Formats: sequence, C-alpha cells, structure tokens
Amino acid sequence: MNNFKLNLRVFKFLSSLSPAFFPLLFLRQVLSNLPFFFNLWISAEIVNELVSAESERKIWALVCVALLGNFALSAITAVVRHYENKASTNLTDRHFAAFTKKILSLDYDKIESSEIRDLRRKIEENSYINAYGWEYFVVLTERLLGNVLNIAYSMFLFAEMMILIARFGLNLWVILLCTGIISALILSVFVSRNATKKVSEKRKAVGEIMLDANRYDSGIPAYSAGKDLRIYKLRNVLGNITNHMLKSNIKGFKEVSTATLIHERIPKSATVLLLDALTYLLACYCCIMGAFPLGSVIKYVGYIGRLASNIIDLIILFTEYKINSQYLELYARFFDIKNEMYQGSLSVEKRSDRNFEIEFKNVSFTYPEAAHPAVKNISFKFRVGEKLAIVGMNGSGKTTLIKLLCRLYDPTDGEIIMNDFNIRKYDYRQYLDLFSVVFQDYKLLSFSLGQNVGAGESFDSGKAEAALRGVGFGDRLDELEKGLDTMLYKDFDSDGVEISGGEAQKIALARALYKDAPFVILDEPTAALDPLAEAEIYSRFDSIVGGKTAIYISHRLSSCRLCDRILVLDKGEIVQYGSHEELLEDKTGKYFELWNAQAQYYNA
Amino acid sequence: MNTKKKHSKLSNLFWAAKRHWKTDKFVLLSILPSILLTVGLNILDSYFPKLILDRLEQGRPFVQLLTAITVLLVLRFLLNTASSWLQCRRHSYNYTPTMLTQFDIYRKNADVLYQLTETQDYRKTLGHASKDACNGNCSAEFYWGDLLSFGTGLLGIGSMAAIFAVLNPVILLVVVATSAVSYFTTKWEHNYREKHKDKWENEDRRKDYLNGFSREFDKAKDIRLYGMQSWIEKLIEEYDTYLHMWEERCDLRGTLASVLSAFMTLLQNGTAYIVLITMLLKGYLNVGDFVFYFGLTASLAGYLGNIVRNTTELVKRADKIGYYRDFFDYEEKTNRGKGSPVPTDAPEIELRNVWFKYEGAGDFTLKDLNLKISSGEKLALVGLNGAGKTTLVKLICGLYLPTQGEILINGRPIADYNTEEYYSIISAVFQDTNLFAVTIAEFVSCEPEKTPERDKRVRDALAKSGLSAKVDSLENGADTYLIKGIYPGAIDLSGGETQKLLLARAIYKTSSILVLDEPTAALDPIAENELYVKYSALTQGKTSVYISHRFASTRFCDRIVLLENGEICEHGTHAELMEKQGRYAELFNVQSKYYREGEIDE
Repeated sequence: MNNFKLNLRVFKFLSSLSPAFFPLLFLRQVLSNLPFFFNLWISAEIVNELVSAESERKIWALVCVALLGNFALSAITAVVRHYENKASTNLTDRHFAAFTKKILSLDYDKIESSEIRDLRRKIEENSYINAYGWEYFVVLTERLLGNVLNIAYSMFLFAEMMILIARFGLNLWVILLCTGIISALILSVFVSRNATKKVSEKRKAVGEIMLDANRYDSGIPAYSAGKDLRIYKLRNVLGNITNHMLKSNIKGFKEVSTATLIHERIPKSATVLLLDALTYLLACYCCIMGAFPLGSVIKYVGYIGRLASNIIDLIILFTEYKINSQYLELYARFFDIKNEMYQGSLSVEKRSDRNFEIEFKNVSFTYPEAAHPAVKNISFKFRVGEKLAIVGMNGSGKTTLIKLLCRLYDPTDGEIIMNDFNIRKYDYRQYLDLFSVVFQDYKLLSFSLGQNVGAGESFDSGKAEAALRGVGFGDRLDELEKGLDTMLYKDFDSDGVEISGGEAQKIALARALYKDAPFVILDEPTAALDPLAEAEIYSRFDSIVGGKTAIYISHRLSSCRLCDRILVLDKGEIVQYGSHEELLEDKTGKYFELWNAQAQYYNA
Repeated sequence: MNTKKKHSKLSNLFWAAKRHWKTDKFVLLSILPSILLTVGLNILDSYFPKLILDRLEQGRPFVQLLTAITVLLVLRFLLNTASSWLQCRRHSYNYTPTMLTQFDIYRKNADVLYQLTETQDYRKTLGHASKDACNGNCSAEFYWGDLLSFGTGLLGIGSMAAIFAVLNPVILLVVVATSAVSYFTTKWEHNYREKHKDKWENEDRRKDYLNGFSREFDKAKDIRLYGMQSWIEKLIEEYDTYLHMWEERCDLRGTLASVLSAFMTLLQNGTAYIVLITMLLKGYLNVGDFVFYFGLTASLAGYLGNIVRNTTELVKRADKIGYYRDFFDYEEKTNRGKGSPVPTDAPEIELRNVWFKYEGAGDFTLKDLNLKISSGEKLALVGLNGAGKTTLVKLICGLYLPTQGEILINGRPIADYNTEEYYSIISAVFQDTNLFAVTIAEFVSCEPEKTPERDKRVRDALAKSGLSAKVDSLENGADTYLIKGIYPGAIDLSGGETQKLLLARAIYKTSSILVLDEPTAALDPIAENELYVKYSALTQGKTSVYISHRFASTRFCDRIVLLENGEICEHGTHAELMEKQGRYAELFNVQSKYYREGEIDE
C-alpha cells in the first residue's frame, strides 16, 4: 500500500471512531492561527492612523476593533477547543477499545503466534516510547493544518504587498529584492529537505536505542524476583546491558543533536536571516518610496519569517509522515488480521442425556513455528460419561491434545469427530460451551469472586456458592465479609483480596463446575496443593464431575486411579490406551515406567 | 521501620544538581546563559520594529537603515545560534541521568534486605521513585528544564517590570492584577479535578486493567473458553462513557477560565492602548516607542501568566526529587562491610528460638523454632500449605531476618557475614518462577560475558537438569532469548521446562548451601524420579534443604522435618516417623493410598 493510501485509510478509520474530531480540529486551527495575522493587520492600521494623526476617533475605533476582535477570537477558540477535546478523548478511548476488541476477537492460534505478538509489541513500543503511530498521525495532521493555514494567510499578505508595489510601479531594485525573496523561499525548501534527510536517520537510530532500553526494562524482574536477584547476583547480567545501553544512548543523542544543530537549526535561522533582511529592505525601500505607509512595514515584515519557517516545517512534516507510515503500516496489518478458523454453523444439540461421543481420527498437529509435530497420528474414541486420564512426560503433547479438542487450534491433519460430524462444522461458540476447562496456567480476573465463578457480570449466586462449596472453598467463603461480592486482587478495588495459589485453583475449579458443561477438563489441578488438599479434590472428584465426561491431566499418577481409562502419550503419539489395571500389566510399557517412578516410594 | 528525614525543597533541588554535576557539568552551566539569551532575544525582537520605524519616521538615509538592519539581524542570528547550540548540546546528554538514576534504583533495590522489599512502606517509596524515573520525565534529570523556565520567567518579569516602572506604572499594575485574576480562574479546572478525582480514579484504573487484555495474552485462553469477550467490551464502554462525562465537566471549567482569561487580556491590552496612545498623542512617545512598549506588554503578560505555573512546577519537581532521596536513604539492613570469611565447605546451620512474623500479620508464622542442620546433611521439609516452610528457607537464605532469635552458620550469626558473600554460597530454586528477557545461557550462568568456558558449564548444567534435549532443538541453542515478544526469536517455556531451567541455574552455581522449594511440581514422574536419583550427587559437599508436597522426595534425605503451624511437629528419618504412626505417617498414607495396589475405599 502506498503511503498516501495508508494515511488516508488511517484518517478514515479514526474518523469513523470519532466523526467530529477532524472537522473540529480544522475549525480550531483556522481560528487559533488567525489572531497573529489579525494583530499584524490591526497594529499596522493603528500605527498608520497614529502617524497620520488625522482623526483621534478613528484611532479609538481601531483600538476597539483590536480589543474586541482578539477577545472574540480567543473566546470562540476556547469554546471550539472544548468540543474538540471531547471528540479527542472519544477518539483515544474508542481507539484503545477497538484495539482491545480486536485482540479479544482473534482466534487463539493467532494470539499464540510470535508474528502477532511481535506485531503487537512493535505497535505498542513505538507508540509509547517513540510516539509513532496513529497518535503521531493526529499530531502531524494538526501541524499540517496549522502550517497550510499559516502559509495561506501569509500568501494573502504577500499578495497584498505585491499588488501595492506593482500599483506603485516596479523598478530594478524592487524586482531584484522580490526575486531574492522568492529565491530565499526556494532555498528554504532545499535547506529543509537536506535537514530532514540528515536528521531523521539519526532520530531513527535514537528511537532504536529507546526501544532497547524499554525492552531491557520489561526484562527487569519484578518484586517477586528479588530473591533470585540477590542469590544469583543478577545485577551482573543486568549491569552489563546497562553499561552498553548508556554508551549507545550518549552516542545516539550526541549524533542527533549535532546533526540537528548543523543541518537543521543553523541553516534554518540563516535562511530566516536572509529572508528577513531582504523583506526588511524591500518593505523599507517601498515605504521610503511611498508605496505604502509606515505602519504597513510592521505588517509586511512580520509574516515573512513565519512563512519561511512554515515552508521548512511543511517539508519536514512530509518526511515525518513518511517515517510514521512505516508504523501505520503495522496498524493496518494488525487490523487486517483475519480469523482463519472455520466457523461452523451446525447447532450443538442441547442433549439432555449429554450423549456426546468424541473420536480423534489420525490427528496430527504442528505448532505454526515448530519444526516437529506436537502430536502425531492420534486416533482414539471416548464415550460419554467416561473419565479419561491423559499421562505422559513433559512435552509429550497432553495439553496440545486438549487445545485441539477445545478448538483453540485446528488439527494440521486428520479430524476430530463429535457425534458423526467434524467438530469444525459446529457453531464455534456453542461448541466451546460444551467444555469446562481448568488449564494448568488458568487465570482469574480482577472481578468479584462471584463474577469469576459465573464468568460474567451477573451470576446465579446460589449456584456460584454451591460450586465454591463443592470444591472445598466453603470455609474461606464464610470468612469473607462480602462473600461472593469480594473483589479478587487489587486492580479493580483497593479493598480486593489477595488469594493464595491453592485458593485460586479452587476458584478456577468452581468456575468450571458452575459452567456445568458436558465435558470437564482438568489440567494439573493439584500441582500447588498439599497432600490433604489434593486428597480432598480426589475425594470430591466424583461429585465435581458427576455424570459428565471428564479428562484429567496430571503428573500425579495417583489421579489415574480415579479414571476409567488412561491415554498414555509419548513424544506426541499414543503408546497405550486402557484401564489402569490393563496398562500396568504391560511391564515394558510406558505407563508401567511412569507409574513405578512414583509408586515405588509409596509401596514400601 | 524506616525513619524518614524530611528534606526541604531547596535541598532537594541542590541534591539533584549535585548528583547531576558529577556526571555532566555542561547542563548546569548552560542554564544561566540560556536564560539571558532567551530574555535578550525577546527584548531585541520587540526593539527591532522600533528601530526601523524610528529611522523611517526620521527619514534617515537608506544606507543607515541598511546598516542598522544588517547589524541587528546578524546579532539576532548569532544569539539564536548560541541559544540553539546550548539547547542541542544539552540535548546530547538526554536521558543519561535518567538511565543512571534508574540503574541506581535497580541497584539499591537489589541491595536492601529482601524482607524490606515486601513491606508496604518500602514498596510505596520504591514505587514513587521508579514511577518518576520511568515516565520519561525523570525529576532527577529534567528539573533543569523547570529551573530554566523559572529563571527565564523571573528575569523576564524583572526586566520588563523595570522598563514599565520607569515608563508608566499603570500598565504594570493592570497587567499584574489581571494576571492574578487569570491565575485564579485557571485553577478552577485543576481544583475541580482534585476535588472530584475519587469519583473516577477507580473507574480509570479498571478501564486500564481491561484494556490491558490487549497486551497481556496470558488470560486469552480463559477469556475465550468462558466467553467473556462481550462482557469485557461492554464494561470498557460503560467506563468510557462515565469517564467522558467527568472529563467534560472538568474541561468545561477550563473553557470558562479561557474565556475569562481572554477578557483579562482585553483589559491588559485596553489599558496599554489607552496609556500608550494618550502618551503618544501628548508627544511623550513616538510611533516606534508605541510599537515597542505594546510588544513588551504582551511579553510581560506572557511571563506573568507562566510564572505561577513555573513556580508550581518547580515546587512539584523538588517534591518529586524527594522521592529519590527517600528511597536512596532507605536503610538497607544488610552487612556491606568486611564480614567473617564465608564457609566454602558444607556449613552447619542452626536456628535458635527463631520467631518470625510478617508485616501486618496477626500471628507468628514461625514460633520458637529450634533446628540444627549438620554439615552436609540433606534435610527434607514437609507440611501443609501455609505451615511456614518457605518462610523458613527464606530465613536460612538470609532474605528475611528473624523477628526474634538467631540463625547461626558455622556458629556465627548470618549478620556477621558480608551479605553479598553469604548469598554467594547459596543455590536456590524458589517456588515462584521469574524469567526475564535474557538468553538461556545468560539466565543459567548469570554471566553476561559469552565464553567457551561458560557455555560448556551451561551445557553441563542443562544436561543435569534434563533440559538439554529442548535446548538442542532450538536453532540458537542456549543463546535463544527467553519470553516471547520482547526480542525476536524468543521462546516461551512450559511449566516443566521452566522448572528445569531454574534447576540448571542452581546446579551451575558453585555453592555450599542448596535450597529447593517444590522444584518438581510441574515435572513428569520420570523427570521427578531422575532428580531424586541424582539428588545425592547434586548435594555433594553441600548442606541442603528440600521442600516438597511429594513424600517420595523425603526418601533421599537424611532427615525429615514436619512443620505444622510454624512449629516443628515431628522430625526423624522416614522409617522412624512411619513407625511413630504420627502426623507424618498420616499424611504419607493419604498420599500413598492411591499408589498402593488394591482398591481405593471411598
């Protein structure tokens, strides 16, 4: 996409978020740039009257125009600015909301991909650290409007002056000076082009340094890492990076500021000097010759310096637009990400008998950036009401299997069938509603306890309480003054409670229980629990699961005793499938090895 | 508790300047010249039209005019260039003091006693300082900007006031009076915001938290599976609407103030016109003077309008510098001096009547604990969640100080050893995992310098912790960055892999005390068993403490200590404790029930 189209697209997008913003911005720019020229004009008129001293009344009349004109302009600008601020707040918030909404709507496989995370990070760091992105587009547009308006106003005065001079009659000096002024203006274009070329490269380099510093900051461990920081003297690792950063920071800024001084600041003021000199000469000359009165000299020398710097800034602005486009491109790419997961339309039958049958048929899956498949050729069937344990070593594909079943990913090969149809054919949301999952890395949100259990704003408090009591959270619940309305964590409410890992795990279990879906999937639910708490979960397992179909993943193989069938995975493949007793019989099997690795210590 | 000295605002500014002076003298030296240049240029710009008008009015020859214009323009160019040079030169040190301050904060934060870092007071103090240091406008650096504006304002007002005092004090009085009125009206919005800020602070924070879901992907799975997207979107919208309402109310005050201040400008200019034109008509002034003084009126009003803000900013700045001083003054409570020589062989660890209570907690976490771990002993620490196991090892590591009692290492209290040196003999794996964005090799070795020797030892440690296969499968091997989304090509590790990585770090370090707190919670049975089997080799020449909920682990230890409610409930070998049929045996049976042959009785 070319830069113009890209910027236009961003303009349209932002306009759609807050339609009033850009018109108001324009109006305010028209108004707020006007007083400078108005004052040039009115001062000149007043001075002219003072010099000619014809009528005192006319002087006071002009003074009144000056005072009221300025007041009116300022007051109207303030009012317009109020509405502009409103539109601008709207724009910012809607934009953030659009971002969040986009992320929330993305397929899970997109969320996990490095490409999209990199994209998200780049957008974020460039906007926060170097202020590039849509916010900069707004800033640039504001400046562009200001510049264009200023140039237009200046042109008006320039034209007026030229007409006066032309009417008076041209001579060689005037022509020479005018040619000089126009050449100086053209010169300023070259000056600025050179400046932007030389400086913006260096600025970009500094931007990179700032990004580096930010990455380093985000790598800095938080409070909880304080233990590691001390015991392992992590200062050493971090210290090295810091020295390196400091050096490149100094070097980067030095280069930028030298370049700015030599290529931008000095040439700019030299050009302005030249222009000023020529304009003063022209204005004075014409005044002496009688082309216009004394006061007009102020008017005509006042705007020209401004015109030159506006032209220079305009050129710089276009370069900045160009640089910023690179980052706008990231935005466009982000909002262009399409969900590719097939969204079926088949309605999931709300079977009261919960009669679902799931079959994996030659399912293989390779993570997008991985070289080897995480699971290969998985084929098995399980029936409703069955309790299935999945065991295997770290990295054997247990969690991947769950993610495939819950359609967080679609298989690379093969298919998963539910009641005769490929699971892709079912309506996605309805399909997800079939599963209550507690992932190993489950997360609770900083809402109230009840909202967490109910996973929504409103919840059935009786049901939520029952779920919490069902997982053994009852005693703790009774202690909480606000009960189900207790806020978790401190993000939402400074009165929120901090909960321990064991408690959080129970709440996550209660959430799964509350959902009351036909499938219950528990991934390492007891890892953080002590033996008594673990035994409590085990003994409640049947009541938690009830007549539902359950899948239980754990490294604590004791849990296999609770399940009807056990699926043993090794390196992504099914190596065994059967009941605990059946599998133990195979003394060369993986299950026997796994089981004994743990059980040997408990049998003596 | 930390007793805080109250620092005066002036001393804060002086403190920052002194700190700054040590690394960079230019910025401070450039402030006064910059102030003079800014005010000088301002007066020169007002004077310029007067000069021209005077000469034109008097009908001087064109050549004289030409000379005057050239001289003044060249002078302005030179002053401008000097001012630009100062600015650019200052700019070349941009963020260096900020970075240095940030590093000092990190360093200090790593130096204070760990226990302090968990206290509210410390966190608040650190929070203030680091928030200011990281917002891109670090007070320890950019205070000079405020000094500059303040100084410019003062000099500007001073010089213009002097001019008007001579010319006509009426203008001066009116400008001062109207500026004062404007000052009060511009406070409206600010005061209104201050008064009502509790009405939206919570909502603001909540909205930020919700929008945070677009950055933090860890909650993505749960949000999707439990279908919470539309709820979150709806909440964001509700908060936005609410916040906009308040924002509009505040802004309305600002708008009113702007209109009023436009009226004040009208009064200022009106007075200036009346006084100056009257004087001109009476012949006290010529046209050039009129233009000059009228220009100055606007400048004076500008300086007066800004001076209050400049002062407020400077005062605020001084207060913020106080955050740093409070933080850097924080008593570290560690031994940074020359301590007793630390043991290089496995030391004996003795806890004598150790009590420990967390800040703000009602009850003691550890109560009158007496425990002697002999040199080279492998101790297993078991107990229910919340029994005090982790607290105990943090005390042994010197991360906490006992509330009462003492901990002796080879007969000397931990405080006798230099803290750094004491940490250097400890290897530990804690329960909470904190990865950060460095390479795997850097993480394991904690050495930034890539050497063949380091990489060899890293490979060795990774092999021992069982992470070799994973690392070898990576394109960049041990030079791969951790944490996806910070450096390109970085990876995220699974729970089990993370635990192995932490273990590798503990193995890499040469130490004489080894502490492992639940190091196998996320490991598969085979990996867990491997650790048990290797445990004796790993603890060779070390005194070790192993915490686990898995009673299998206790078999590889010489002695088991069972903690219950902060007290030692039982201790002895596995066989002894089983024989005793006490609490240990009970917990062991609960866990082993499912592993024994035969049916499980419900």
